[in-house]
Amino acid sequence: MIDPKDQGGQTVWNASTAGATSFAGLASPDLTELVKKVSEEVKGDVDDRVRPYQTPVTMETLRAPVP
Amino acid sequence: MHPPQTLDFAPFGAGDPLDVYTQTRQGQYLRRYLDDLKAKSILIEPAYFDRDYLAEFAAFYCTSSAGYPNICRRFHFFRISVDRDLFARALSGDTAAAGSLHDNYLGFVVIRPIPASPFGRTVLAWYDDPRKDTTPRIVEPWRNYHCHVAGIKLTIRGLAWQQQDSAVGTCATISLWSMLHSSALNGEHGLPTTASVTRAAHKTASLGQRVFPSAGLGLHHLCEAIKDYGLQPIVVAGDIRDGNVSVGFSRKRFTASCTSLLRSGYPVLVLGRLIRGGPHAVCAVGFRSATPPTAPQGTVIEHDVDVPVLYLHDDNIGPSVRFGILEDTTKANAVVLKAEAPSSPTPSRYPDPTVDYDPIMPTTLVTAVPEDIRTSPDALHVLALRAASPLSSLIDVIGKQNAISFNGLTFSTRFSRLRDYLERDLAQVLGASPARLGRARLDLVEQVAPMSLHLGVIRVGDGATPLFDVLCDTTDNDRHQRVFAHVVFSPGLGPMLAAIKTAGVANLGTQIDVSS
Repeated sequence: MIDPKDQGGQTVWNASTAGATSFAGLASPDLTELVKKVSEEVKGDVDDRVRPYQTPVTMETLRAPVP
Repeated sequence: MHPPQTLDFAPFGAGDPLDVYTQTRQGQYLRRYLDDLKAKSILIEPAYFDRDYLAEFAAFYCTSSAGYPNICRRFHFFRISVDRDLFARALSGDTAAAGSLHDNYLGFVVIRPIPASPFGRTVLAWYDDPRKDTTPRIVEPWRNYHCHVAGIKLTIRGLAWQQQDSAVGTCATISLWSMLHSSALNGEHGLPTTASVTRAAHKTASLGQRVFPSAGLGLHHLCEAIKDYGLQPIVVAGDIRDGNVSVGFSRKRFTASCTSLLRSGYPVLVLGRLIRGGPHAVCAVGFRSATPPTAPQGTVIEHDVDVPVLYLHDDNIGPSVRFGILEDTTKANAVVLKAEAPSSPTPSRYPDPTVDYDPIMPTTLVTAVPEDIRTSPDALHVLALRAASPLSSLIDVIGKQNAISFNGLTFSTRFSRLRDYLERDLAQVLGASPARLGRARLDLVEQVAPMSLHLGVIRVGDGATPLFDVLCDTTDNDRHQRVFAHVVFSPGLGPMLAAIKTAGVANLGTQIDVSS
């Protein structure tokens, strides 16, 4: 586990640390079935997380006055 | 004709020509800003025809009985002592003298002959960035402005600001005018004037309102003006709502949206309310990036949620004003923006104009993008969450099976031109591995369906370590969102992402694995 503070306090847009985290060698018998299982488990949470990003632009918003 | 006048030179300090304007908040701000830039001298052009002011003059002031002149003054600032002798040597071909003018140029302020609102087009240098290698100030929208004085070309990099005159332009007009100066929109349209912005806003949506003097623009006016310049508006409504009306933003959505657009080079019009006043509009031109938080294992969080500061062009204060991104705990933790002065190395003679300035509560964001971008940061963020959330859970489960701990994931987005992604974004990640960089570039060109001019780029990381990018089409609507490819940087991640695609959880396009 790498703490971002140990990476020079950079961001993904300027750090050149690609490959610093490796998942190589992790064994799992059936990845596709596992993906189906975990995605079903997190579906409700994901729906909640995406809701703010789906806020509609209403006519009331468009008509709001701006000085 | 106006009489000829000589150029003037003055030391920067008490009693200089800018000093007479320090009774206003804007004058105090410019003074302190130039103090912090270590300005030493001013070159004064006493007679300068300014394109923006001439348009304002033609639209409004020329018919006023006040008898406004049509000519401005322009002040140029330097961090060295510039006098007539040095300037004359530069004009005479002395390359050392000319070089010192160029190297120490701090920008300019146009002074209009409007007593109540004298500050016209203003472009000043940014402060030095001591954190440019770690958490840099992101100011992608900036552009070069060239000033020609008696045959000397002076160049400054920034984004234009000016004070509203409340006749041709109000705060929304000025903010939109600054936004349309962005370098990311170069080639899409000519640089606007405030008068042309106000006219464009009224062209199709005036609803009987008079054009000049401008009493302010509605959001629909702003969107119509953007379209009139051959661009398209993206409107992001605040996710904290009262019925059908957006009344604020959560920190996650506000920072994710602003950083995505600013990183792409698109300034953001921030519309909202002054906490103790009325509606207000400002233009976000940059932000201070932040080290991403460490996501708990199995979770996904927004990479830019801890961004501490936005830089706003606020016509009430000045250009590039630092605004802290805070939350109002009494209003559902809605984001409020609080002006703050940077710590100054030397105490100023002038009051800090940000001290008593009312915080702003943003309710809506607007930006202008090229016509062919038909998607929004929101659509990219939804896809990022739908792909990264099951992946993070998968890593959690497999990690536990193998008794290895992993951080959760972070995501961040931007729009990049295809050529910039291939040249800049990939080189940043893979620059230390030239062979992998070359392979990624070639595979993206040869193995992936031809990609659009602009890409929606989702970068998923483990803290600050990039793990993979998702490259999205920007030329279709969000219902038909298509993904061209995903580029894998981290060993062992390719099979997991392939499984996510095979399971039908998220379409991630063609896999380009350059992890080894």
